[in-house]
Amino acid sequence: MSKVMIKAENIVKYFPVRGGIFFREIGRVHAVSDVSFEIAAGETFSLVGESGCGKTTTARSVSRLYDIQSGKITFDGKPIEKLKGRDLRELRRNIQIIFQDPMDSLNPRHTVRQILKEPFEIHGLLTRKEREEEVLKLLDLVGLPQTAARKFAHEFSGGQRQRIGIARAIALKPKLIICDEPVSALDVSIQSEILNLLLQLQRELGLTYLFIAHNLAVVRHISDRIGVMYLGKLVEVAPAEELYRNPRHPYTKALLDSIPNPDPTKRKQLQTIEGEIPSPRNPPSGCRFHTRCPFAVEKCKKVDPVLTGKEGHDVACHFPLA
Amino acid sequence: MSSAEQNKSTHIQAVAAEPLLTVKDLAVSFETDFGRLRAVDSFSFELSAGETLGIVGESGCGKSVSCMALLDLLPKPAGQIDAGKVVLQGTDIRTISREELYKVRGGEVGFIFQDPMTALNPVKTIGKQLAEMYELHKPGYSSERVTSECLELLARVGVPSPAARLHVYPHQLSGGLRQRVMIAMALTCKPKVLIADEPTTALDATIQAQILLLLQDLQKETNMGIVMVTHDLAVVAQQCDSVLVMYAGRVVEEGPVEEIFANPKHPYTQMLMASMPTLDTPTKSELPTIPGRVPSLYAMPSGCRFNNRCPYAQMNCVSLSPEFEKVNADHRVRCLHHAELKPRNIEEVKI
Repeated sequence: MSKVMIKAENIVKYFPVRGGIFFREIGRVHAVSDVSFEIAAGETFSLVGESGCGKTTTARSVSRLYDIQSGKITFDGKPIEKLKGRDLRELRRNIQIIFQDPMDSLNPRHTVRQILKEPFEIHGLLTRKEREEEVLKLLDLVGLPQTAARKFAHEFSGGQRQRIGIARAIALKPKLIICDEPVSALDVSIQSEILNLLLQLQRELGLTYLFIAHNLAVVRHISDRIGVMYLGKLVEVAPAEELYRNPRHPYTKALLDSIPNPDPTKRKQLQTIEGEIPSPRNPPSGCRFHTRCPFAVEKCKKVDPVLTGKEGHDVACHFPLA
Repeated sequence: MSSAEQNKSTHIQAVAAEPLLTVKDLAVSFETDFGRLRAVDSFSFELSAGETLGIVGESGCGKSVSCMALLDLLPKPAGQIDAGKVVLQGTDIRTISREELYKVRGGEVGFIFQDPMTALNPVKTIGKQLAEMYELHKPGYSSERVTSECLELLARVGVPSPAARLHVYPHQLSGGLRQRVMIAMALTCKPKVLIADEPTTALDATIQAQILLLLQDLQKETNMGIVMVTHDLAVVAQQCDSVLVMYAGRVVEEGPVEEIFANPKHPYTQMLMASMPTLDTPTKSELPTIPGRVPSLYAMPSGCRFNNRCPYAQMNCVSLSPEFEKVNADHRVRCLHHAELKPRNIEEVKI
């Protein structure tokens, strides 16, 4: 096993809900509750789950975009949950993000050259001339022509814009890149181009990815290991193929059964879980999935299951599927 | 293959009867800064009762525009139907009066839009919006009757505690529930045809499965024909009986879903299918891609519109515009060289 790039231990993140005349805290949205995982260097770890299950909050917490309420985060061997000032800026160099919608995350008034130079300016790296060269190198690396440097984000197609977003993320040679739904807004044929590019960059630059997506076929394609989240908890973690072959948590099973098969001759009766994800302001007691789980018994309502398992396949369920 | 045969037999039964909706050579254009541009050309299909027709293609290929044009919902005055017929149960709805068209919209033909948050009125309660459908289409109903029917409808589409939901606003509902409300609105008048424009694109996998199952159930119950626009090939494989593949404003291939998936003839269809990762593709492998980009409307290549991206393109692909050719009884393709291409040989042309 290669070295651990990032390790999260029991991280908790909630957002206070304020109201009333004195704007007091009247409730909490429990976005991430007691989540632990680690990602090895050069690995792709994915988080999947329905909207609102805390995937993005988890990713933003471990990258210090959010401050967590409790827990420990270790990046490259050093604790980072309390970093400030210069040390935090140094950390930001090493963790970069690719966002879902490149149109929203690229400054519409800046040329691509300005966008790609900005990371170097912020961190005070390189001379003016070197930055110029670096921009052209980056464009080349993500498969864009050098003429792109003069243009604005709106002059590109969705796939090309995502390439610019990727170029910006790799500019400072980070160790970890968080890909937050990087292909969800793209067409099928463009999606495959971007996935190929991400895989190629990972091979060439030895990047570590924390990948977030809701398309389960895409996640399986790009990941080494996958974590399934439900209502702020990690309910199952397993190597990609293993998770799809042998899901052990009833929620994972339900999630997999709900994907349509792209072969009309193998059409299956879609299975789905009744109801919707409960509100994270008031999560159910015990196992958070018990309100929708077909196998739930009394114990599930009372005792919160722990994430355990063997051979890298962990599950948080009192009665995991065989 | 039993399900395939079963599908085929229902398909044949349906075709024997008069088709419910026939669209013939529809052409749509838009007024732009670059002059009038043709967005959709020779768009035709037939839909029978109980059939689900899928329309697939990438953004900008004209799938939504075609559907909007069916009910003359194009933005005016920029959008305009240049030619073609839309025959619903024997009447061409392009020739009927405004008033009659209003009755068809939401009456015989229901419409579900992609994003229920923008399609629903944010300042009216769900109950008011549903009641509006009755005001327009069933003016004689008493308010008690409207309320009771609304409750029934919401219950039918699986909205929990419908009585309470009548008084809430769209933003108070989750995405899945909003989509159910949209479906309820579309079903108010028991339409013969339901047009669903990307009904599940904005939803999570589990909610998507719930909505797809709901549409299947409703179709069994009312025998309506469904036109389903999507870019997700897996949804088409799961849900549809026949499929139209669109590229740059034209239908390039059409046929029964089993046939198209097993034996795609158009290079675009082949490449589109190959580029999609499935649960069987080896992980972390390189995916086949389609080189180049969809041409823009004001720089459409002459001849076959796919010629600048097609690995098999030959000289005559640039000079000749391909017509629809029959591959077999109900599989048709718009490609000059489809007979020479081997099916599924896309791996060999990897770029």
